[in-house]
Amino acid sequence: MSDLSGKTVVVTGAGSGVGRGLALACAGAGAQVVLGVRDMAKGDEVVARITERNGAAVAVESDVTEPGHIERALDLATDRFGGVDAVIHNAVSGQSSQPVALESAPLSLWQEHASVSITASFHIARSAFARLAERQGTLIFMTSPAGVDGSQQLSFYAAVKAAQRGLVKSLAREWGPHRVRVNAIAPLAATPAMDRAFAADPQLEGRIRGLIPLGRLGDSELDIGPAAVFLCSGDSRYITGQTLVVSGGRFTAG
Amino acid sequence: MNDEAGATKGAVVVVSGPGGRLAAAVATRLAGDGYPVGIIGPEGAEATAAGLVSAGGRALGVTAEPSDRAALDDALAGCAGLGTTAAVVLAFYPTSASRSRELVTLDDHEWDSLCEAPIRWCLVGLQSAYQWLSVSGGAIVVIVPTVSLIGAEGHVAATTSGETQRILAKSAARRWGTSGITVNTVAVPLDTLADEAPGDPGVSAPLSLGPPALAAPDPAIGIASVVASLTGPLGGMVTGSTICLDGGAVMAP
Repeated sequence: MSDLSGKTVVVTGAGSGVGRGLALACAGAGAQVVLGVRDMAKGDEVVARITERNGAAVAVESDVTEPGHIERALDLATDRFGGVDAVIHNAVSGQSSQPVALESAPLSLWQEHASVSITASFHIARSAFARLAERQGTLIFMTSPAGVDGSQQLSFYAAVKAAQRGLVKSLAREWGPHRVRVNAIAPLAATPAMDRAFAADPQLEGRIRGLIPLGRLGDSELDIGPAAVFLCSGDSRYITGQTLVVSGGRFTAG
Repeated sequence: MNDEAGATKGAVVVVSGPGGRLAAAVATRLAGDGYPVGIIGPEGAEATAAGLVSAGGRALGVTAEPSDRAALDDALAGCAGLGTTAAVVLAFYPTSASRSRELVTLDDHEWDSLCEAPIRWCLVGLQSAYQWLSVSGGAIVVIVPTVSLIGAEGHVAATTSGETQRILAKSAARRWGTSGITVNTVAVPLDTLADEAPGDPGVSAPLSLGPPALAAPDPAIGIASVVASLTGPLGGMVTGSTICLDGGAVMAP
Protein backbone atom coordinates (compact mmCIF):
# COMPACT_ATOMS: atom_id res chain seq x y z
CA MET A 1 0.00 0.00 0.00
CA SER A 2 1.11 3.61 -0.56
CA ASP A 3 2.94 5.40 2.24
CA LEU A 4 1.42 8.40 4.00
CA SER A 5 4.12 8.83 6.64
CA GLY A 6 4.43 12.44 7.73
CA LYS A 7 1.18 13.47 6.03
CA THR A 8 -1.92 14.78 7.77
CA VAL A 9 -5.33 13.74 6.52
CA VAL A 10 -8.65 15.27 7.61
CA VAL A 11 -11.68 12.98 7.18
CA THR A 12 -15.26 14.21 7.62
CA GLY A 13 -17.94 11.80 8.77
CA ALA A 14 -15.21 9.60 10.22
CA GLY A 15 -17.11 8.16 13.18
CA SER A 16 -18.63 5.18 11.41
CA GLY A 17 -19.10 3.38 8.12
CA VAL A 18 -16.90 4.29 5.17
CA GLY A 19 -15.41 7.34 6.91
CA ARG A 20 -14.26 5.19 9.81
CA GLY A 21 -12.64 2.77 7.38
CA LEU A 22 -10.89 5.58 5.55
CA ALA A 23 -9.51 6.99 8.79
CA LEU A 24 -8.21 3.58 9.87
CA ALA A 25 -6.65 2.93 6.47
CA CYS A 26 -4.95 6.34 6.28
CA ALA A 27 -3.59 5.93 9.81
CA GLY A 28 -2.44 2.42 8.92
CA ALA A 29 -0.47 3.89 6.04
CA GLY A 30 1.29 6.25 8.44
CA ALA A 31 -0.82 9.40 8.25
CA GLN A 32 -1.79 11.57 11.17
CA VAL A 33 -5.57 11.70 11.01
CA VAL A 34 -8.05 14.33 12.13
CA LEU A 35 -11.50 12.83 12.38
CA GLY A 36 -14.46 15.15 11.98
CA VAL A 37 -17.39 13.47 13.76
CA ARG A 38 -20.89 14.33 14.88
CA ASP A 39 -20.74 11.91 17.81
CA MET A 40 -17.55 12.27 19.87
CA ALA A 41 -18.04 8.83 21.46
CA LYS A 42 -17.70 7.26 18.02
CA GLY A 43 -14.76 9.50 17.20
CA ASP A 44 -13.00 8.55 20.41
CA GLU A 45 -13.50 4.86 19.61
CA VAL A 46 -11.80 5.25 16.24
CA VAL A 47 -8.99 7.30 17.76
CA ALA A 48 -8.48 4.59 20.38
CA ARG A 49 -8.31 1.93 17.68
CA ILE A 50 -5.73 3.94 15.75
CA THR A 51 -3.70 4.59 18.90
CA GLU A 52 -3.72 0.88 19.72
CA ARG A 53 -2.06 0.34 16.38
CA ASN A 54 0.58 2.95 17.23
CA GLY A 55 -0.96 5.54 14.94
CA ALA A 56 -1.71 9.22 15.58
CA ALA A 57 -5.22 10.64 15.44
CA VAL A 58 -7.50 13.16 17.06
CA ALA A 59 -11.26 13.57 16.83
CA VAL A 60 -13.13 16.86 16.71
CA GLU A 61 -16.87 17.41 16.89
CA SER A 62 -17.79 18.65 13.47
CA ASP A 63 -21.05 19.35 11.67
CA VAL A 64 -19.99 20.13 8.10
CA THR A 65 -23.06 22.27 7.56
CA GLU A 66 -21.45 24.74 9.97
CA PRO A 67 -18.56 26.51 8.18
CA GLY A 68 -16.99 27.29 11.54
CA HIS A 69 -16.75 23.58 12.33
CA ILE A 70 -14.86 22.98 9.09
CA GLU A 71 -12.37 25.70 9.99
CA ARG A 72 -12.04 24.19 13.43
CA ALA A 73 -11.07 20.79 12.06
CA LEU A 74 -8.55 22.33 9.66
CA ASP A 75 -7.12 24.51 12.44
CA LEU A 76 -6.76 21.46 14.65
CA ALA A 77 -4.85 19.65 11.92
CA THR A 78 -2.50 22.60 11.57
CA ASP A 79 -2.04 23.15 15.30
CA ARG A 80 -1.61 19.50 16.22
CA PHE A 81 0.20 18.11 13.20
CA GLY A 82 1.65 21.14 11.40
CA GLY A 83 -0.52 21.36 8.31
CA VAL A 84 -3.03 19.68 6.01
CA ASP A 85 -1.96 17.36 3.19
CA ALA A 86 -5.33 15.86 2.37
CA VAL A 87 -8.99 16.43 3.09
CA ILE A 88 -11.54 13.68 2.47
CA HIS A 89 -15.15 14.86 2.52
CA ASN A 90 -17.09 11.72 3.36
CA ALA A 91 -19.98 13.00 5.49
CA VAL A 92 -23.47 12.62 4.02
CA SER A 93 -26.95 13.50 5.16
CA GLY A 94 -28.55 11.14 7.63
CA GLN A 95 -31.35 10.91 5.05
CA SER A 96 -29.08 9.63 2.30
CA SER A 97 -30.22 6.02 2.37
CA GLN A 98 -33.93 6.86 2.60
CA PRO A 99 -35.96 6.45 -0.62
CA VAL A 100 -37.24 9.72 -2.08
CA ALA A 101 -40.43 10.29 -4.08
CA LEU A 102 -38.81 12.67 -6.55
CA GLU A 103 -42.14 13.89 -7.91
CA SER A 104 -43.40 15.09 -4.56
CA ALA A 105 -40.45 15.41 -2.16
CA PRO A 106 -40.32 18.79 -0.42
CA LEU A 107 -37.55 21.29 -1.04
CA SER A 108 -36.69 21.10 2.66
CA LEU A 109 -35.59 17.48 2.16
CA TRP A 110 -33.49 18.50 -0.83
CA GLN A 111 -31.89 21.21 1.27
CA GLU A 112 -31.03 18.63 3.92
CA HIS A 113 -29.11 16.58 1.34
CA ALA A 114 -27.60 19.61 -0.38
CA SER A 115 -26.39 21.26 2.79
CA VAL A 116 -24.11 18.34 3.65
CA SER A 117 -22.94 17.35 0.19
CA ILE A 118 -23.06 20.50 -1.97
CA THR A 119 -22.88 23.59 0.25
CA ALA A 120 -20.46 21.92 2.64
CA SER A 121 -18.31 20.73 -0.27
CA PHE A 122 -18.04 24.35 -1.39
CA HIS A 123 -17.17 25.50 2.13
CA ILE A 124 -14.60 22.74 2.60
CA ALA A 125 -12.95 23.50 -0.73
CA ARG A 126 -12.87 27.23 -0.08
CA SER A 127 -11.52 26.81 3.44
CA ALA A 128 -8.96 24.14 2.63
CA PHE A 129 -7.48 25.60 -0.52
CA ALA A 130 -4.72 27.78 0.96
CA ARG A 131 -3.58 25.03 3.34
CA LEU A 132 -3.59 22.40 0.60
CA ALA A 133 -1.75 24.69 -1.80
CA GLU A 134 0.93 25.23 0.83
CA ARG A 135 1.75 21.50 0.81
CA GLN A 136 0.67 20.57 -2.73
CA GLY A 137 -2.05 18.54 -1.13
CA THR A 138 -5.17 16.82 -2.32
CA LEU A 139 -8.92 17.06 -1.87
CA ILE A 140 -11.06 13.95 -2.17
CA PHE A 141 -14.83 13.70 -2.28
CA MET A 142 -16.55 10.44 -1.46
CA THR A 143 -19.21 10.21 -4.12
CA SER A 144 -21.24 7.28 -5.46
CA PRO A 145 -21.89 5.31 -8.63
CA ALA A 146 -25.40 6.72 -8.28
CA GLY A 147 -23.87 10.10 -9.06
CA VAL A 148 -23.08 8.75 -12.51
CA ASP A 149 -26.13 6.59 -13.19
CA GLY A 150 -28.90 8.34 -11.29
CA SER A 151 -31.19 6.37 -9.04
CA GLN A 152 -34.88 5.55 -9.15
CA GLN A 153 -35.20 5.45 -5.36
CA LEU A 154 -32.33 7.61 -4.09
CA SER A 155 -32.68 10.52 -6.49
CA PHE A 156 -31.56 13.24 -4.09
CA TYR A 157 -28.57 11.22 -2.95
CA ALA A 158 -27.63 10.56 -6.58
CA ALA A 159 -27.95 14.23 -7.45
CA VAL A 160 -25.76 15.53 -4.65
CA LYS A 161 -23.16 12.89 -5.45
CA ALA A 162 -23.26 14.10 -9.07
CA ALA A 163 -22.67 17.61 -7.76
CA GLN A 164 -19.48 16.41 -6.13
CA ARG A 165 -18.33 14.78 -9.36
CA GLY A 166 -18.98 18.04 -11.18
CA LEU A 167 -17.05 19.91 -8.52
CA VAL A 168 -14.12 17.51 -8.87
CA LYS A 169 -13.85 17.92 -12.63
CA SER A 170 -13.83 21.71 -12.60
CA LEU A 171 -11.87 22.21 -9.41
CA ALA A 172 -9.13 19.88 -10.64
CA ARG A 173 -8.70 22.14 -13.65
CA GLU A 174 -8.80 25.28 -11.53
CA TRP A 175 -6.37 24.07 -8.87
CA GLY A 176 -3.99 22.13 -11.11
CA PRO A 177 -1.70 25.14 -11.59
CA HIS A 178 -1.41 25.30 -7.79
CA ARG A 179 -0.45 21.61 -7.73
CA VAL A 180 -3.50 20.74 -5.68
CA ARG A 181 -5.17 17.59 -6.93
CA VAL A 182 -8.90 16.94 -6.67
CA ASN A 183 -10.45 13.50 -7.10
CA ALA A 184 -13.47 11.44 -6.10
CA ILE A 185 -14.01 7.87 -4.97
CA ALA A 186 -17.28 6.11 -5.75
CA PRO A 187 -17.41 3.13 -3.40
CA LEU A 188 -19.75 0.23 -2.95
CA ALA A 189 -19.20 -0.82 0.64
CA ALA A 190 -20.90 -2.45 3.56
CA THR A 191 -22.12 0.28 5.89
CA PRO A 192 -24.25 0.40 9.04
CA ALA A 193 -27.12 1.73 6.90
CA MET A 194 -26.78 -1.22 4.58
CA ASP A 195 -26.64 -3.61 7.54
CA ARG A 196 -29.94 -2.16 8.74
CA ALA A 197 -31.45 -2.61 5.29
CA PHE A 198 -30.27 -6.25 5.25
CA ALA A 199 -31.81 -6.83 8.66
CA ALA A 200 -35.11 -5.49 7.40
CA ASP A 201 -34.95 -7.56 4.21
CA PRO A 202 -32.83 -10.69 4.75
CA GLN A 203 -32.81 -11.58 1.04
CA LEU A 204 -31.52 -8.17 -0.02
CA GLU A 205 -27.89 -8.95 0.73
CA GLY A 206 -27.93 -12.00 -1.52
CA ARG A 207 -29.55 -10.04 -4.32
CA ILE A 208 -26.94 -7.29 -4.08
CA ARG A 209 -24.04 -9.75 -3.89
CA GLY A 210 -25.38 -11.39 -7.03
CA LEU A 211 -24.96 -8.12 -8.90
CA ILE A 212 -21.30 -7.69 -7.92
CA PRO A 213 -18.81 -9.54 -10.15
CA LEU A 214 -16.41 -9.97 -7.23
CA GLY A 215 -19.28 -11.44 -5.22
CA ARG A 216 -19.17 -9.32 -2.08
CA LEU A 217 -19.63 -5.85 -0.70
CA GLY A 218 -16.47 -3.87 -0.09
CA ASP A 219 -14.93 -3.52 3.33
CA SER A 220 -14.55 0.15 4.23
CA GLU A 221 -11.04 -0.15 5.62
CA LEU A 222 -9.59 -2.98 3.56
CA ASP A 223 -11.20 -2.39 0.16
CA ILE A 224 -12.14 1.30 0.01
CA GLY A 225 -9.41 2.60 2.31
CA PRO A 226 -6.49 1.69 0.02
CA ALA A 227 -8.07 3.71 -2.81
CA ALA A 228 -8.13 6.77 -0.55
CA VAL A 229 -4.58 6.12 0.64
CA PHE A 230 -3.43 5.90 -2.97
CA LEU A 231 -5.13 9.16 -3.91
CA CYS A 232 -3.70 10.90 -0.84
CA SER A 233 -0.20 9.68 -1.63
CA GLY A 234 2.49 10.77 -4.04
CA ASP A 235 1.85 7.58 -5.99
CA SER A 236 -1.13 9.33 -7.56
CA ARG A 237 0.67 12.62 -8.18
CA TYR A 238 -0.35 12.69 -11.86
CA ILE A 239 -4.00 11.89 -11.24
CA THR A 240 -6.55 14.67 -10.85
CA GLY A 241 -10.15 15.33 -11.87
CA GLN A 242 -11.03 11.63 -11.74
CA THR A 243 -13.67 9.50 -10.10
CA LEU A 244 -12.27 6.16 -9.01
CA VAL A 245 -15.11 3.62 -8.86
CA VAL A 246 -14.39 0.99 -6.19
CA SER A 247 -17.37 -1.31 -6.50
CA GLY A 248 -16.13 -4.85 -7.09
CA GLY A 249 -17.04 -4.40 -10.74
CA ARG A 250 -20.69 -3.58 -10.05
CA PHE A 251 -20.50 -0.32 -11.97
CA THR A 252 -18.66 -0.16 -15.28
CA ALA A 253 -20.31 2.72 -17.17
CA GLY A 254 -19.14 6.29 -17.37
CA MET B 1 -50.78 23.22 -36.27
CA ASN B 2 -50.06 20.06 -38.23
CA ASP B 3 -46.89 18.22 -39.07
CA GLU B 4 -45.98 17.08 -42.58
CA ALA B 5 -48.15 13.99 -42.22
CA GLY B 6 -51.09 16.14 -41.16
CA ALA B 7 -51.07 15.12 -37.51
CA THR B 8 -51.64 17.79 -34.88
CA LYS B 9 -48.46 18.76 -33.10
CA GLY B 10 -48.56 18.77 -29.34
CA ALA B 11 -47.64 21.92 -27.50
CA VAL B 12 -44.14 22.48 -26.15
CA VAL B 13 -43.71 24.53 -23.00
CA VAL B 14 -40.35 26.19 -22.39
CA VAL B 15 -39.66 27.08 -18.76
CA SER B 16 -36.68 29.24 -17.88
CA GLY B 17 -35.04 31.16 -15.08
CA PRO B 18 -33.88 34.77 -15.16
CA GLY B 19 -32.44 35.90 -18.44
CA GLY B 20 -33.98 33.40 -20.75
CA ARG B 21 -32.33 34.44 -23.99
CA LEU B 22 -31.89 30.84 -25.10
CA ALA B 23 -35.40 29.90 -23.96
CA ALA B 24 -36.83 32.68 -26.12
CA ALA B 25 -34.75 31.52 -29.09
CA VAL B 26 -35.91 27.92 -28.62
CA ALA B 27 -39.55 29.01 -28.33
CA THR B 28 -39.19 31.08 -31.50
CA ARG B 29 -37.69 28.19 -33.39
CA LEU B 30 -40.37 25.76 -32.20
CA ALA B 31 -43.12 28.18 -33.17
CA GLY B 32 -41.49 28.53 -36.59
CA ASP B 33 -41.58 24.74 -36.88
CA GLY B 34 -45.32 24.81 -36.25
CA TYR B 35 -45.54 23.91 -32.58
CA PRO B 36 -47.94 25.67 -30.23
CA VAL B 37 -45.54 27.11 -27.66
CA GLY B 38 -45.90 28.05 -24.03
CA ILE B 39 -43.23 30.28 -22.52
CA ILE B 40 -42.88 30.47 -18.74
CA GLY B 41 -40.30 32.56 -16.95
CA PRO B 42 -39.76 35.44 -14.57
CA GLU B 43 -39.23 38.02 -17.28
CA GLY B 44 -40.06 38.58 -20.94
CA ALA B 45 -42.33 35.56 -21.42
CA GLU B 46 -45.41 37.53 -22.47
CA ALA B 47 -43.43 39.77 -24.82
CA THR B 48 -41.81 36.79 -26.52
CA ALA B 49 -45.18 35.08 -26.90
CA ALA B 50 -46.78 38.24 -28.26
CA GLY B 51 -44.08 38.45 -30.90
CA LEU B 52 -44.68 34.85 -31.94
CA VAL B 53 -48.44 35.39 -32.14
CA SER B 54 -48.02 38.50 -34.27
CA ALA B 55 -45.83 36.41 -36.58
CA GLY B 56 -48.69 33.97 -37.03
CA GLY B 57 -47.80 31.36 -34.43
CA ARG B 58 -49.75 29.96 -31.50
CA ALA B 59 -48.08 30.97 -28.28
CA LEU B 60 -48.80 31.90 -24.71
CA GLY B 61 -46.47 33.61 -22.27
CA VAL B 62 -46.85 33.39 -18.51
CA THR B 63 -44.72 35.16 -15.92
CA ALA B 64 -43.68 32.87 -13.09
CA GLU B 65 -40.74 32.66 -10.75
CA PRO B 66 -38.93 29.34 -11.20
CA SER B 67 -38.75 28.84 -7.45
CA ASP B 68 -42.53 29.12 -7.03
CA ARG B 69 -44.02 25.66 -7.46
CA ALA B 70 -47.64 26.84 -7.24
CA ALA B 71 -47.06 29.56 -9.82
CA LEU B 72 -45.35 27.07 -12.10
CA ASP B 73 -48.24 24.60 -11.75
CA ASP B 74 -50.71 27.37 -12.57
CA ALA B 75 -48.63 28.51 -15.54
CA LEU B 76 -48.47 25.00 -16.99
CA ALA B 77 -52.20 24.59 -16.48
CA GLY B 78 -52.66 27.91 -18.25
CA CYS B 79 -50.91 26.48 -21.28
CA ALA B 80 -53.64 23.85 -21.65
CA GLY B 81 -55.37 26.16 -24.10
CA LEU B 82 -52.57 25.42 -26.56
CA GLY B 83 -53.63 21.77 -26.73
CA THR B 84 -52.07 18.64 -25.28
CA THR B 85 -48.60 19.28 -23.93
CA ALA B 86 -46.12 16.99 -25.65
CA ALA B 87 -42.95 18.30 -24.08
CA VAL B 88 -41.62 20.56 -21.37
CA VAL B 89 -38.17 22.12 -21.82
CA LEU B 90 -36.45 23.23 -18.62
CA ALA B 91 -33.64 25.76 -19.05
CA PHE B 92 -32.35 26.94 -15.70
CA TYR B 93 -28.94 28.50 -15.58
CA PRO B 94 -27.31 31.46 -13.88
CA THR B 95 -27.46 34.65 -15.93
CA SER B 96 -23.75 35.22 -15.33
CA ALA B 97 -22.80 31.62 -16.09
CA SER B 98 -20.09 32.46 -18.60
CA ARG B 99 -18.30 34.94 -16.34
CA SER B 100 -15.16 33.28 -15.02
CA ARG B 101 -14.81 33.22 -11.23
CA GLU B 102 -12.44 31.19 -9.11
CA LEU B 103 -14.20 29.19 -6.42
CA VAL B 104 -12.20 30.69 -3.56
CA THR B 105 -13.43 34.17 -4.49
CA LEU B 106 -17.11 33.26 -4.25
CA ASP B 107 -19.11 34.19 -1.18
CA ASP B 108 -22.02 32.09 0.02
CA HIS B 109 -24.61 34.15 -1.85
CA GLU B 110 -22.70 33.98 -5.12
CA TRP B 111 -22.26 30.21 -4.78
CA ASP B 112 -25.98 29.80 -4.19
CA SER B 113 -27.02 31.97 -7.12
CA LEU B 114 -24.53 30.35 -9.53
CA CYS B 115 -24.92 26.74 -8.43
CA GLU B 116 -27.63 25.78 -6.00
CA ALA B 117 -30.53 28.06 -6.94
CA PRO B 118 -30.68 26.72 -10.52
CA ILE B 119 -30.68 23.18 -9.10
CA ARG B 120 -33.67 24.01 -6.92
CA TRP B 121 -35.46 25.55 -9.91
CA CYS B 122 -34.75 22.40 -11.91
CA LEU B 123 -36.16 20.23 -9.15
CA VAL B 124 -39.30 22.35 -8.91
CA GLY B 125 -39.56 22.38 -12.70
CA LEU B 126 -39.23 18.60 -12.91
CA GLN B 127 -41.89 18.10 -10.24
CA SER B 128 -44.29 20.50 -11.91
CA ALA B 129 -43.67 18.97 -15.34
CA TYR B 130 -44.26 15.50 -13.91
CA GLN B 131 -47.59 16.55 -12.45
CA TRP B 132 -48.65 18.00 -15.76
CA LEU B 133 -47.42 15.16 -18.00
CA SER B 134 -48.24 12.18 -15.79
CA VAL B 135 -51.79 11.99 -17.16
CA SER B 136 -50.87 11.32 -20.77
CA GLY B 137 -47.09 11.12 -20.88
CA GLY B 138 -44.64 13.28 -22.75
CA ALA B 139 -41.07 14.41 -22.92
CA ILE B 140 -39.04 16.51 -20.51
CA VAL B 141 -35.80 18.04 -21.77
CA VAL B 142 -33.31 19.63 -19.36
CA ILE B 143 -30.72 22.04 -20.77
CA VAL B 144 -27.21 22.17 -19.24
CA PRO B 145 -23.83 23.52 -20.38
CA THR B 146 -21.53 21.06 -22.18
CA VAL B 147 -18.58 21.94 -19.95
CA SER B 148 -20.45 20.35 -17.06
CA LEU B 149 -19.46 17.04 -18.60
CA ILE B 150 -15.72 17.72 -18.58
CA GLY B 151 -15.25 20.50 -16.04
CA ALA B 152 -13.99 24.02 -16.54
CA GLU B 153 -11.65 26.24 -14.56
CA GLY B 154 -13.35 29.44 -13.46
CA HIS B 155 -16.79 27.84 -13.77
CA VAL B 156 -16.90 25.43 -10.86
CA ALA B 157 -20.27 26.63 -9.59
CA ALA B 158 -22.09 26.59 -12.91
CA THR B 159 -20.68 23.23 -13.99
CA THR B 160 -21.47 21.68 -10.62
CA SER B 161 -25.01 22.91 -11.06
CA GLY B 162 -25.18 21.41 -14.54
CA GLU B 163 -23.96 17.98 -13.45
CA THR B 164 -26.46 17.93 -10.61
CA GLN B 165 -29.34 18.82 -12.92
CA ARG B 166 -28.19 16.18 -15.41
CA ILE B 167 -28.27 13.39 -12.84
CA LEU B 168 -31.56 14.62 -11.37
CA ALA B 169 -32.89 14.19 -14.91
CA LYS B 170 -31.48 10.65 -15.07
CA SER B 171 -33.12 9.73 -11.80
CA ALA B 172 -36.40 11.20 -13.02
CA ALA B 173 -36.04 9.18 -16.22
CA ARG B 174 -35.61 5.98 -14.22
CA ARG B 175 -38.56 6.77 -12.00
CA TRP B 176 -41.11 8.19 -14.42
CA GLY B 177 -40.69 5.90 -17.41
CA THR B 178 -43.64 3.80 -16.35
CA SER B 179 -45.77 6.95 -16.48
CA GLY B 180 -44.89 7.40 -20.12
CA ILE B 181 -42.56 10.29 -19.41
CA THR B 182 -39.12 10.48 -20.94
CA VAL B 183 -36.47 12.74 -19.42
CA ASN B 184 -33.35 13.64 -21.35
CA THR B 185 -30.62 16.23 -21.10
CA VAL B 186 -29.35 18.45 -23.87
CA ALA B 187 -25.96 20.06 -23.40
CA VAL B 188 -25.16 23.30 -25.22
CA PRO B 189 -22.18 25.68 -25.14
CA LEU B 190 -21.93 27.64 -21.91
CA ASP B 191 -21.89 31.01 -23.59
CA THR B 192 -25.21 30.33 -25.27
CA LEU B 193 -26.81 29.79 -21.87
CA ALA B 194 -25.76 33.06 -20.30
CA ASP B 195 -26.70 36.63 -20.95
CA GLU B 196 -23.17 37.94 -21.44
CA ALA B 197 -21.47 37.91 -24.81
CA PRO B 198 -18.08 36.21 -25.24
CA GLY B 199 -16.33 39.59 -25.52
CA ASP B 200 -17.73 41.02 -22.27
CA PRO B 201 -15.34 41.68 -19.37
CA GLY B 202 -14.59 38.53 -17.41
CA VAL B 203 -16.09 36.26 -20.03
CA SER B 204 -13.69 33.74 -21.51
CA ALA B 205 -13.94 30.33 -23.11
CA PRO B 206 -12.84 27.54 -20.73
CA LEU B 207 -9.44 26.10 -21.56
CA SER B 208 -10.93 22.63 -21.27
CA LEU B 209 -12.94 23.22 -24.43
CA GLY B 210 -11.39 22.31 -27.72
CA PRO B 211 -12.71 23.64 -31.01
CA PRO B 212 -15.87 21.95 -32.29
CA ALA B 213 -15.39 19.31 -34.94
CA LEU B 214 -18.28 20.83 -36.86
CA ALA B 215 -19.17 24.43 -37.53
CA ALA B 216 -20.54 26.19 -34.45
CA PRO B 217 -24.20 25.17 -34.31
CA ASP B 218 -27.24 27.24 -33.43
CA PRO B 219 -28.38 25.64 -30.15
CA ALA B 220 -31.97 26.79 -30.62
CA ILE B 221 -32.21 24.84 -33.87
CA GLY B 222 -30.58 21.84 -32.22
CA ILE B 223 -32.86 21.88 -29.19
CA ALA B 224 -35.94 22.24 -31.36
CA SER B 225 -34.77 19.29 -33.46
CA VAL B 226 -34.20 17.17 -30.36
CA VAL B 227 -37.65 18.08 -29.04
CA ALA B 228 -39.17 17.12 -32.41
CA SER B 229 -37.39 13.76 -32.27
CA LEU B 230 -38.29 13.04 -28.67
CA THR B 231 -41.95 13.89 -29.26
CA GLY B 232 -41.89 12.06 -32.61
CA PRO B 233 -39.88 9.10 -33.91
CA LEU B 234 -37.74 8.66 -30.81
CA GLY B 235 -40.60 9.14 -28.36
CA GLY B 236 -40.78 6.25 -25.92
CA MET B 237 -37.34 4.94 -26.91
CA VAL B 238 -34.81 7.37 -25.52
CA THR B 239 -34.67 8.41 -21.89
CA GLY B 240 -31.96 9.26 -19.41
CA SER B 241 -29.64 10.26 -22.23
CA THR B 242 -27.39 13.27 -22.65
CA ILE B 243 -27.18 14.79 -26.11
CA CYS B 244 -24.38 17.27 -26.81
CA LEU B 245 -25.28 20.03 -29.24
CA ASP B 246 -21.96 21.78 -29.52
CA GLY B 247 -20.63 20.58 -32.85
CA GLY B 248 -18.38 18.02 -31.21
CA ALA B 249 -16.31 20.23 -28.92
CA VAL B 250 -17.16 17.88 -26.06
CA MET B 251 -17.26 14.16 -26.82
CA ALA B 252 -17.48 12.73 -23.30
CA PRO B 253 -17.68 10.01 -22.25
